[in-house]
Amino acid sequence: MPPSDDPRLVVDNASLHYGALDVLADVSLTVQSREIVSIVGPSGCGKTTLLRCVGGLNQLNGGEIRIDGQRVEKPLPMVSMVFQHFGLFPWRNMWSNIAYGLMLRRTPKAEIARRVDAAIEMVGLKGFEKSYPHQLSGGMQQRAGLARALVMEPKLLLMDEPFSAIDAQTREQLQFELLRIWDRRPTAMMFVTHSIDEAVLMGDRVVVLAGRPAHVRALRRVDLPRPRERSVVTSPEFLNLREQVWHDLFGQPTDGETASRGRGVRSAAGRK
Amino acid sequence: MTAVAAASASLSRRLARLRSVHAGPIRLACYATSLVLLFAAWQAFGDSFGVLFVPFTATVRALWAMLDRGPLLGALWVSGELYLVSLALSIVIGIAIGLALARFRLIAAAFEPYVFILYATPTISLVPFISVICGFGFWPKVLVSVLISIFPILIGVMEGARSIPNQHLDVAAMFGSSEGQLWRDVVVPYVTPHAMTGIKQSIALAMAGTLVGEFFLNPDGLAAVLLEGTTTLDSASVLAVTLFVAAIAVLLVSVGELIERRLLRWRHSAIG
Repeated sequence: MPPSDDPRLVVDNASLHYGALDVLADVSLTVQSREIVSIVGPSGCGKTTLLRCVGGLNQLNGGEIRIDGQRVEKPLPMVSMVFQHFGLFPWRNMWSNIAYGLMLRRTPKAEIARRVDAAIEMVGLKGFEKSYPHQLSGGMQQRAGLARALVMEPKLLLMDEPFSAIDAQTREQLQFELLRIWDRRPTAMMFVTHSIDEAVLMGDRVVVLAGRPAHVRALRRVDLPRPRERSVVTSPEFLNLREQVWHDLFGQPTDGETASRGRGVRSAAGRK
Repeated sequence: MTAVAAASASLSRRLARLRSVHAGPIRLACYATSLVLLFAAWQAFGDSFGVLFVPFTATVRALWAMLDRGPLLGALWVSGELYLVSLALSIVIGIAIGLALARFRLIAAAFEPYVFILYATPTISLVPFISVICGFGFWPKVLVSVLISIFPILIGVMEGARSIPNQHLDVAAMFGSSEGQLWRDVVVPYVTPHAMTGIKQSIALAMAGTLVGEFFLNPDGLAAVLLEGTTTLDSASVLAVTLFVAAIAVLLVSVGELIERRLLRWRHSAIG
């Protein structure tokens, strides 16, 4: 076992390209075992790709990703992901969707039932166990998606823009519910979003990913108190941080940025 | 109350009314009306085409006579065996080949062209070769019938298995699904509706295939009865057998629909 102060997740100089198109360039970041790190960046900048690499769904071309010291080459059992598209199986009812991961591991039936029921209770879906996904609203589907991830008791939770396909009011509700759930059992979480507000609200740190290829343009520590209540979004600290991240994203590019622009598309000759 | 709200309320009312058309009694009444109109037209124009066509009532009388002490039930028994065997084989082989072509790229590269060549070839043109190679017995007839009825299943399953959305595969991979579990939990349930669509068509096509097989290879069963009617210009019997076969086909397709609805409750429960 690694010492507890080692980061749970280490992304070390991660690079990725599709053919001649560079997607990620030397991205490095860490997530501690009880920390939420938000990754914010414009749509299509490669943040989801980075998350998928951490999940083991995509492979890096250079650099390394380690979770508890273990190199990620395929999806690891201690990692769960919540998808933007919810990813529930339409042919399984809600209960059975949440039980999916435990069933794959051949967990004893009684334990599956206990853990799934507890997860359903936690995300507030009691009474909808027998409903099929198409009978549930987007918000409820994502609650199920969240329960399906939490029931695995992951050491690292990967959130891929989990609330971006959900209407604004439900999104706000879900953000605070997720924070409440996290407060009860803090775990390492990598939270990808394109919303600056959401990044600041959820994160202990905010990684600003931008440019082509994407690289870490800024890293902001969020010193807002936990548990985070709704009032936090009107605090001067929150507003100030939001401004800073906004400028990280959309302010004048720094000199390094301008220089890197030419590297966006590598010459085909540079590749095999 | 705004105009938009009023419009949407009236739209939802209209949609509700539209859905209620699917409710049992009204649907049944529409079906009965169309049948009555068809039979009435048949009756009205039945005598207008000389000896080669007879009115509806004459056909029903002939049907009754053939059922009562005629050859029809015995023939149905003979053809029924051929029908069931060829339909069962079409389903099993169609699903197996469809899945193999969809999931194993090398098999598809080697064999997919033949599937479409066979699909495009009128099976009747193959009958002489089949009879030369396999003779005139039961199994050559099955072969003809299978060649006629297998393609909707085969192609439906193949297209279905190829269109499994990546999001389902991502979820399975993320939760550590093995290849076998992937087939059980994702491929089979996803492909089932596609297979059922094909099977419903094949239920009717196997009927045609059975008659074609019997017609062109040593006449037997229902085809023998039909053939006898045609050679003796007994149009009433020919129409009676046709009506009989059509009624059985409709019945069997309805059974297929019933099975489909049971299997795909996760799709229909919102409507039904």
